[in-house]
Amino acid sequence: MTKLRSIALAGFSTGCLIALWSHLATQYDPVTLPSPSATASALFELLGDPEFLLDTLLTSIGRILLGVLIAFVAGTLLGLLAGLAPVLRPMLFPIRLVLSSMPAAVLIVLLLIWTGPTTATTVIAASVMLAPLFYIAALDGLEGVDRRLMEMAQVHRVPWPRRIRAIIAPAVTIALLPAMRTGAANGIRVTILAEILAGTGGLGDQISTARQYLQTDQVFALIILVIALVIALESGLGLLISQMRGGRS
Amino acid sequence: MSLALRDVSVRFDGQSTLYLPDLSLEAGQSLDLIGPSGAGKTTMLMVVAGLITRISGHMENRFQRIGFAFQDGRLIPHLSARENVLLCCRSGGKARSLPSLDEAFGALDLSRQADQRAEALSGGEAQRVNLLRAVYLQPDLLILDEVGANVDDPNWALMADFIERSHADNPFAILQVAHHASRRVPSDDRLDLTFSK
Repeated sequence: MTKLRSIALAGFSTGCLIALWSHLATQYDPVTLPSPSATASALFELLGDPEFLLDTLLTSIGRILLGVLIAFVAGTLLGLLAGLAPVLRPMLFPIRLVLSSMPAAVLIVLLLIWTGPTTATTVIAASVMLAPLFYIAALDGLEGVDRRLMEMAQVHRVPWPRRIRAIIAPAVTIALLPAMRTGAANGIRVTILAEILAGTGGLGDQISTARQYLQTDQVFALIILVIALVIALESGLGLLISQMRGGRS
Repeated sequence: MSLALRDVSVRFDGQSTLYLPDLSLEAGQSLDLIGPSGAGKTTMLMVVAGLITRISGHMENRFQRIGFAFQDGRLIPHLSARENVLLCCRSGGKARSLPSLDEAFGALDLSRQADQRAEALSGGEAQRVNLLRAVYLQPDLLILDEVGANVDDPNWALMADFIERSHADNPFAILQVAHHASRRVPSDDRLDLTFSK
């Protein structure tokens, strides 16, 4: 299927969804289901409000980036350490298992008990939920290093910095890129959820507040904004990954 | 510089044991390892190269620098042919006078491929880069493991000529394995592994 055909089909299904939404909106009260046009005007109103952009949107984006960054650094470092020192793997396994299995909402509730409703709660929630993803990716990347190339480097006494740069780092990077894409999207989801539950400002808190005041059009507008953020981030990272892979093929 | 193996055996997975024949190789000498598949030729090369270290017996390897041309090439796919060669060269100046790398690529008819990524090279081109990498690092001992097995006659002629000319400039010892006599460079001696078990 050509790319143009795929885009046309995706556009068609989106159009159908909006048409269905418009039709359903005429059947229900606007407080229950606002129309697409009401949602659009609420969205433009939000985007035209500097206070919303600076205090709400930027706050959430900052938390998301910080949470993902901490998870990336911590998870990758632990993954590399576990790859280099296999004794660490069984030691880290229970922690990884608990974190991977725990629902985000449960972790956030625990964090609220321990740290209270602060910015740290939202950042820690994203970091802790995402760190196992990067840990596994780094470990897989290290295990995926071509042993035959490492033997070649060993025989020829290639200095370790060169081995890392030419053989190990590319293998780990290739494994980390898809994790970064998934992690960034999940980082948005977890951060928004933490903001909703903690009420510490940001997009999630505003969704919660708008719901309380029955501003359903604003709730829908904020949901669209969150979805747009996820799509933009996933697409941007997807493009970066394909460029890096294209550069290697 | 010399290499000596005496009563060396290699144990695989705690099960089978391969006994290798005694071997002695002096600087500048060349030796063919011959024998049927499974006789342990490649294992012996791996032992000499230090890639198999769990051995019994005595091995003394006084060669300082080994160049290994692998049967399966082992080029780093995302690096260019030139980068693959330079990766293995000593940094911080050249211990001995190296010929121009461009000349070396030219001698192996690889001038146009020098800056191509290794993954874009044909099998024959990759094998010539593999050989060039092993020779260009100015080894004391050159190990050739079936390096001409999948190369056509004209390219093998280039490779053999390159080895001979490099050997004339830098008389390294050669340890080689090749099933077909037509894919061996002339050597001083041969060691038959047929009955090593």
